[in-house]
Amino acid sequence: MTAQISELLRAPARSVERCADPRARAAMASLWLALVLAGGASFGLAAGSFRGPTQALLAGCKVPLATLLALAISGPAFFVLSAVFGRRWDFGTAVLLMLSAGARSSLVLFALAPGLALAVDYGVSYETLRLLALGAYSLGGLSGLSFLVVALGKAKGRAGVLVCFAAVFAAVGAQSAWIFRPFIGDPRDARVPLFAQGRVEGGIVGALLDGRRAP
Amino acid sequence: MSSIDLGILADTLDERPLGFRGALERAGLGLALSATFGAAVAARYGVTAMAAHAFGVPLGYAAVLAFGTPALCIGVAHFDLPLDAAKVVEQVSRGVAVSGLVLAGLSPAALLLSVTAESPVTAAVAASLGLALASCLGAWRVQRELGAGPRAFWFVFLPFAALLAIRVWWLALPMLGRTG
Repeated sequence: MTAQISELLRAPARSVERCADPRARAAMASLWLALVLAGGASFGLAAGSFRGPTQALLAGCKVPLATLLALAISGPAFFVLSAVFGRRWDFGTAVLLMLSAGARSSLVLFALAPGLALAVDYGVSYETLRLLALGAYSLGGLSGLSFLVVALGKAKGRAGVLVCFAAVFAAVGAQSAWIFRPFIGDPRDARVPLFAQGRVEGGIVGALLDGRRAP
Repeated sequence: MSSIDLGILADTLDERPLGFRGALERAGLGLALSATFGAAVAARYGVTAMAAHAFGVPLGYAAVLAFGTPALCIGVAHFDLPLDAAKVVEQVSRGVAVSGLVLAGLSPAALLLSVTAESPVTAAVAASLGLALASCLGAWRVQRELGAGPRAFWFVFLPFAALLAIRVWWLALPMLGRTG
């Protein structure tokens, strides 16, 4: 297991090769799924600890769910965009590549979670913590994207797939995170809701710019 | 999964010569695939709207096929460019198929954004961007296949095709104009 994780981080090209091997797929998929759950859960626990243990547990469940939803929704887009630009993977390989990228970014989240927890412990403000969490998530996303860069190879069309897919994934990832909010827990809420549906905040951009209004 | 891959992907993306009937079948497949995107973007407005939009998205591409392709063929022949009309029809059909395939791949994302976006404007913008991306990739595919000869035509054909499709979608997709 550690060899596979090390390979994913150090030699992504070898992981990409193994994604195309039908005999290795089931084991790889299980491990990557476990990494997405563990990495997301640890990051959620750290972020949610800002509002106490209940919110930490809730965020620990919601972060991996949001990640998996984003991966599942954007998987078909990755598959067709790759095909249009000349990468004729079968659907299983394309999905496993997406999951591998998700696992890689979740490992980065796992690594950054203690730092986020430390920031909470030092008493940073809600706004600062929100920016720190966003920055950590962006770093994780970049790590996943770099895996896809390797997977797409050097053949013509790589930039096309990356630009189109990054746009789709950014929209889907942001929306997935937004529908599962809150993760940290706004201090203005006497009791943090499980989900914030029905609250008018101007969408993901509005929420980041703090455009909250009464419902 | 592999049967789906080999079926739809091979049908939409393979490079073999198609013939007129094959080109029409290819375009039909692309139109059918694009209908899934129409249904997805209108999910927030109910089943009737989904059905209407599932008809409206392919209608834009069908209009380009019906009105734009003959014009392009006449233009190619008029200027005696080294392309025959059958090849033009074939490549435009391939372009429609690529656009349909991309829209089908974007459908889950469109469904998520349509159902969960706070504002109808966000949903409309997402739908417009999806249509724009798929149409650009379809046009890129046609341009790549036709080669460098008729590039001057893109200054006439592409703007016309874009304006026509936008007009049809504006009329056939009410969600694009909704703000509340």
